[in-house]
Amino acid sequence: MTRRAAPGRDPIRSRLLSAAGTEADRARHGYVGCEHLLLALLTDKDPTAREILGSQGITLPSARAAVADVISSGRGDGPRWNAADLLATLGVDLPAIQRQMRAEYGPHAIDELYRSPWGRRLSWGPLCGPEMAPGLKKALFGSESRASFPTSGHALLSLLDTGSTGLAAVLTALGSSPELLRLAVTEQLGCAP
Amino acid sequence: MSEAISLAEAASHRDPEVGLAAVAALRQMLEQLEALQVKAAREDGWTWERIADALGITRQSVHRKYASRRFPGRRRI
Repeated sequence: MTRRAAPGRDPIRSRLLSAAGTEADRARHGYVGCEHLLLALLTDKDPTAREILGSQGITLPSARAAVADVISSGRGDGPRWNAADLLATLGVDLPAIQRQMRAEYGPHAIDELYRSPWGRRLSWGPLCGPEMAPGLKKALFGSESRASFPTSGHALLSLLDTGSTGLAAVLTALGSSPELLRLAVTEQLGCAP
Repeated sequence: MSEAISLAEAASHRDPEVGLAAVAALRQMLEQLEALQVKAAREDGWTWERIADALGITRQSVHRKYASRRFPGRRRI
Protein backbone atom coordinates (compact mmCIF):
# COMPACT_ATOMS: atom_id res chain seq x y z
CA MET A 1 0.00 0.00 0.00
CA THR A 2 -0.37 2.80 0.43
CA ARG A 3 0.28 5.42 3.03
CA ARG A 4 2.85 7.13 0.92
CA ALA A 5 2.29 10.79 0.17
CA ALA A 6 1.45 11.68 -3.40
CA PRO A 7 4.60 12.49 -5.31
CA GLY A 8 2.97 15.42 -7.08
CA ARG A 9 4.16 16.53 -10.49
CA ASP A 10 7.85 16.78 -9.74
CA PRO A 11 9.45 14.06 -11.87
CA ILE A 12 12.59 13.79 -9.73
CA ARG A 13 10.59 13.49 -6.49
CA SER A 14 8.29 10.94 -8.10
CA ARG A 15 11.18 8.85 -9.43
CA LEU A 16 13.03 8.97 -6.13
CA LEU A 17 9.99 7.92 -4.11
CA SER A 18 9.41 4.98 -6.40
CA ALA A 19 13.08 3.96 -6.45
CA ALA A 20 13.38 4.23 -2.66
CA GLY A 21 10.40 1.85 -2.33
CA THR A 22 12.01 -0.52 -4.82
CA GLU A 23 15.26 -0.51 -2.85
CA ALA A 24 13.39 -1.26 0.41
CA ASP A 25 11.44 -4.09 -1.26
CA ARG A 26 14.59 -5.48 -2.83
CA ALA A 27 16.31 -5.70 0.56
CA ARG A 28 13.11 -6.90 2.31
CA HIS A 29 13.25 -4.00 4.75
CA GLY A 30 10.24 -3.16 6.91
CA TYR A 31 10.14 0.55 6.05
CA VAL A 32 11.15 3.01 3.37
CA GLY A 33 13.47 5.62 4.85
CA CYS A 34 16.23 8.12 4.24
CA GLU A 35 18.67 5.24 3.84
CA HIS A 36 16.70 4.03 0.82
CA LEU A 37 16.47 7.53 -0.60
CA LEU A 38 20.26 7.64 -0.61
CA LEU A 39 20.23 4.46 -2.71
CA ALA A 40 17.55 5.92 -4.96
CA LEU A 41 19.77 8.95 -5.62
CA LEU A 42 22.53 6.58 -6.71
CA THR A 43 20.23 4.93 -9.26
CA ASP A 44 18.52 8.04 -10.62
CA LYS A 45 18.97 8.98 -14.25
CA ASP A 46 19.91 12.55 -13.24
CA PRO A 47 23.61 12.05 -12.46
CA THR A 48 24.10 15.12 -10.22
CA ALA A 49 23.73 13.38 -6.84
CA ARG A 50 25.44 10.21 -8.06
CA GLU A 51 28.49 12.22 -9.16
CA ILE A 52 28.68 14.09 -5.85
CA LEU A 53 28.39 10.84 -3.91
CA GLY A 54 30.94 9.22 -6.23
CA SER A 55 33.38 12.04 -5.46
CA GLN A 56 33.13 10.92 -1.82
CA GLY A 57 33.83 7.31 -2.79
CA ILE A 58 30.19 6.27 -2.37
CA THR A 59 28.93 3.81 -4.95
CA LEU A 60 25.66 1.90 -5.25
CA PRO A 61 27.11 -1.49 -4.16
CA SER A 62 28.96 -0.01 -1.19
CA ALA A 63 25.92 2.02 -0.15
CA ARG A 64 23.58 -0.99 -0.42
CA ALA A 65 25.90 -3.01 1.78
CA ALA A 66 26.14 -0.20 4.35
CA VAL A 67 22.36 0.31 4.41
CA ALA A 68 21.79 -3.42 4.89
CA ASP A 69 24.28 -3.51 7.76
CA VAL A 70 22.90 -0.41 9.49
CA ILE A 71 19.27 -1.54 9.31
CA SER A 72 19.88 -5.15 10.28
CA SER A 73 21.89 -4.01 13.29
CA GLY A 74 19.03 -1.84 14.51
CA ARG A 75 20.65 1.53 13.76
CA GLY A 76 18.26 2.53 10.99
CA ASP A 77 15.36 4.98 11.14
CA GLY A 78 12.74 2.23 11.26
CA PRO A 79 12.12 -1.33 12.40
CA ARG A 80 15.01 -3.74 12.20
CA TRP A 81 13.01 -6.51 10.58
CA ASN A 82 10.12 -6.61 8.17
CA ALA A 83 6.66 -7.75 9.22
CA ALA A 84 6.52 -10.78 6.91
CA ASP A 85 9.73 -12.24 8.34
CA LEU A 86 8.66 -11.48 11.91
CA LEU A 87 5.27 -13.13 11.40
CA ALA A 88 6.97 -16.12 9.79
CA THR A 89 8.77 -16.77 13.09
CA LEU A 90 5.28 -17.36 14.55
CA GLY A 91 4.30 -19.59 11.65
CA VAL A 92 2.09 -16.89 10.11
CA ASP A 93 2.30 -16.57 6.32
CA LEU A 94 1.69 -12.87 5.63
CA PRO A 95 1.92 -13.13 1.81
CA ALA A 96 -0.69 -15.92 1.88
CA ILE A 97 -3.02 -13.78 4.02
CA GLN A 98 -2.53 -10.84 1.67
CA ARG A 99 -3.32 -13.03 -1.35
CA GLN A 100 -6.44 -14.38 0.33
CA MET A 101 -7.56 -10.88 1.32
CA ARG A 102 -7.13 -9.56 -2.21
CA ALA A 103 -8.98 -12.55 -3.63
CA GLU A 104 -11.94 -12.05 -1.30
CA TYR A 105 -12.12 -8.26 -1.03
CA GLY A 106 -10.36 -7.01 -4.14
CA PRO A 107 -6.86 -5.71 -4.90
CA HIS A 108 -7.43 -2.34 -3.21
CA ALA A 109 -9.19 -3.60 -0.08
CA ILE A 110 -6.64 -2.15 2.34
CA ASP A 111 -6.51 1.24 0.61
CA GLU A 112 -10.32 1.34 0.69
CA LEU A 113 -10.36 0.33 4.36
CA TYR A 114 -8.04 3.18 5.35
CA ARG A 115 -10.10 5.66 3.35
CA SER A 116 -13.33 4.46 4.95
CA PRO A 117 -14.74 5.55 8.34
CA TRP A 118 -13.68 2.15 9.72
CA GLY A 119 -10.05 2.75 8.94
CA ARG A 120 -9.56 6.38 9.86
CA ARG A 121 -8.17 5.64 13.30
CA LEU A 122 -6.54 2.40 12.33
CA SER A 123 -2.77 2.61 12.67
CA TRP A 124 -0.30 1.19 10.19
CA GLY A 125 -0.10 -2.61 10.05
CA PRO A 126 1.60 -5.41 8.12
CA LEU A 127 -1.15 -5.62 5.49
CA CYS A 128 -0.17 -2.11 4.33
CA GLY A 129 3.34 -3.06 3.27
CA PRO A 130 6.45 -1.08 4.26
CA GLU A 131 5.72 2.20 6.02
CA MET A 132 7.29 5.46 4.89
CA ALA A 133 9.58 6.77 7.65
CA PRO A 134 9.08 10.38 8.82
CA GLY A 135 12.57 11.36 7.63
CA LEU A 136 11.74 10.32 4.08
CA LYS A 137 8.51 12.32 4.14
CA LYS A 138 10.47 15.32 5.42
CA ALA A 139 13.10 14.96 2.70
CA LEU A 140 10.62 14.65 -0.14
CA PHE A 141 7.56 16.52 1.13
CA GLY A 142 8.79 18.73 3.97
CA SER A 143 8.10 22.45 4.12
CA GLU A 144 11.46 23.27 2.58
CA SER A 145 11.13 20.81 -0.25
CA ARG A 146 7.69 21.58 -1.64
CA ALA A 147 9.13 23.18 -4.75
CA SER A 148 10.36 20.89 -7.50
CA PHE A 149 13.92 19.65 -7.20
CA PRO A 150 15.87 21.22 -10.09
CA THR A 151 18.39 18.37 -9.90
CA SER A 152 18.92 15.23 -7.87
CA GLY A 153 21.66 17.16 -6.06
CA HIS A 154 18.97 19.39 -4.55
CA ALA A 155 17.12 16.27 -3.39
CA LEU A 156 20.36 15.08 -1.80
CA LEU A 157 20.64 18.39 0.05
CA SER A 158 17.06 18.01 1.28
CA LEU A 159 17.92 14.47 2.44
CA LEU A 160 20.91 15.78 4.41
CA ASP A 161 18.66 18.38 6.06
CA THR A 162 16.49 15.70 7.67
CA GLY A 163 18.97 14.93 10.43
CA SER A 164 18.31 11.21 9.94
CA THR A 165 20.37 9.11 12.34
CA GLY A 166 20.08 6.10 10.04
CA LEU A 167 21.51 8.09 7.15
CA ALA A 168 24.31 9.40 9.35
CA ALA A 169 25.20 5.83 10.35
CA VAL A 170 25.26 4.76 6.70
CA LEU A 171 27.46 7.70 5.68
CA THR A 172 29.82 7.03 8.59
CA ALA A 173 30.09 3.39 7.53
CA LEU A 174 30.99 4.67 4.07
CA GLY A 175 33.78 6.87 5.42
CA SER A 176 31.84 10.11 5.05
CA SER A 177 29.41 12.13 7.16
CA PRO A 178 26.39 14.39 6.61
CA GLU A 179 28.62 17.43 7.19
CA LEU A 180 31.27 16.39 4.67
CA LEU A 181 28.66 15.50 2.13
CA ARG A 182 26.81 18.77 2.64
CA LEU A 183 29.99 20.68 1.87
CA ALA A 184 30.47 18.67 -1.32
CA VAL A 185 26.85 19.23 -2.38
CA THR A 186 26.80 22.96 -1.72
CA GLU A 187 30.10 23.35 -3.55
CA GLN A 188 28.80 21.44 -6.53
CA LEU A 189 25.47 23.24 -6.60
CA GLY A 190 27.03 26.62 -5.90
CA CYS A 191 24.79 27.41 -2.93
CA ALA A 192 25.47 28.37 0.70
CA PRO A 193 26.25 25.45 3.06
CA MET B 1 32.94 -6.80 12.56
CA SER B 2 29.37 -6.38 11.42
CA GLU B 3 26.78 -6.02 14.16
CA ALA B 4 24.10 -7.37 11.86
CA ILE B 5 22.32 -10.50 13.02
CA SER B 6 19.86 -12.22 10.73
CA LEU B 7 16.31 -12.62 11.88
CA ALA B 8 16.63 -16.40 11.61
CA GLU B 9 19.67 -16.37 13.88
CA ALA B 10 17.97 -14.12 16.41
CA ALA B 11 14.78 -16.18 16.36
CA SER B 12 16.72 -19.40 16.77
CA HIS B 13 18.23 -17.95 19.95
CA ARG B 14 14.81 -16.96 21.25
CA ASP B 15 15.77 -13.30 21.21
CA PRO B 16 13.01 -11.41 23.06
CA GLU B 17 13.43 -8.49 20.65
CA VAL B 18 12.28 -10.75 17.83
CA GLY B 19 9.53 -12.40 19.84
CA LEU B 20 8.05 -9.11 21.03
CA ALA B 21 8.32 -7.48 17.60
CA ALA B 22 6.62 -10.51 16.05
CA VAL B 23 3.76 -10.33 18.55
CA ALA B 24 3.39 -6.59 17.89
CA ALA B 25 3.22 -7.25 14.13
CA LEU B 26 0.62 -9.97 14.72
CA ARG B 27 -1.50 -7.64 16.89
CA GLN B 28 -1.34 -4.89 14.25
CA MET B 29 -2.36 -7.34 11.55
CA LEU B 30 -5.26 -8.66 13.62
CA GLU B 31 -6.51 -5.08 14.12
CA GLN B 32 -6.44 -4.60 10.37
CA LEU B 33 -8.21 -7.89 9.67
CA GLU B 34 -10.85 -7.16 12.29
CA ALA B 35 -11.53 -3.71 10.81
CA LEU B 36 -11.77 -5.25 7.35
CA GLN B 37 -14.28 -7.83 8.54
CA VAL B 38 -16.33 -5.29 10.51
CA LYS B 39 -16.50 -3.05 7.44
CA ALA B 40 -17.61 -5.98 5.29
CA ALA B 41 -20.21 -7.06 7.84
CA ARG B 42 -21.71 -3.59 8.16
CA GLU B 43 -21.81 -3.25 4.36
CA ASP B 44 -23.69 -6.57 4.33
CA GLY B 45 -26.22 -5.16 6.79
CA TRP B 46 -25.08 -6.85 9.98
CA THR B 47 -26.17 -5.23 13.23
CA TRP B 48 -23.62 -4.18 15.82
CA GLU B 49 -25.05 -6.81 18.16
CA ARG B 50 -24.45 -9.57 15.66
CA ILE B 51 -20.90 -8.34 14.96
CA ALA B 52 -20.21 -8.16 18.70
CA ASP B 53 -21.46 -11.72 19.18
CA ALA B 54 -19.27 -12.98 16.35
CA LEU B 55 -16.22 -11.21 17.78
CA GLY B 56 -16.97 -12.48 21.27
CA ILE B 57 -17.09 -9.00 22.78
CA THR B 58 -19.86 -6.77 24.10
CA ARG B 59 -21.94 -4.57 21.87
CA GLN B 60 -20.64 -1.55 23.79
CA SER B 61 -17.06 -2.55 23.04
CA VAL B 62 -17.59 -2.92 19.34
CA HIS B 63 -19.52 0.35 19.26
CA ARG B 64 -16.82 2.19 21.16
CA LYS B 65 -14.23 0.91 18.77
CA TYR B 66 -16.01 1.34 15.45
CA ALA B 67 -19.35 3.08 15.54
CA SER B 68 -18.04 6.53 16.45
CA ARG B 69 -15.84 6.37 13.36
CA ARG B 70 -18.86 6.83 11.22
CA PHE B 71 -20.12 9.80 13.17
CA PRO B 72 -17.09 11.70 14.47
CA GLY B 73 -17.86 13.70 17.60
CA ARG B 74 -21.21 12.01 18.13
CA ARG B 75 -21.69 9.31 20.74
CA ARG B 76 -24.46 6.89 20.16
CA ILE B 77 -25.31 3.34 21.09
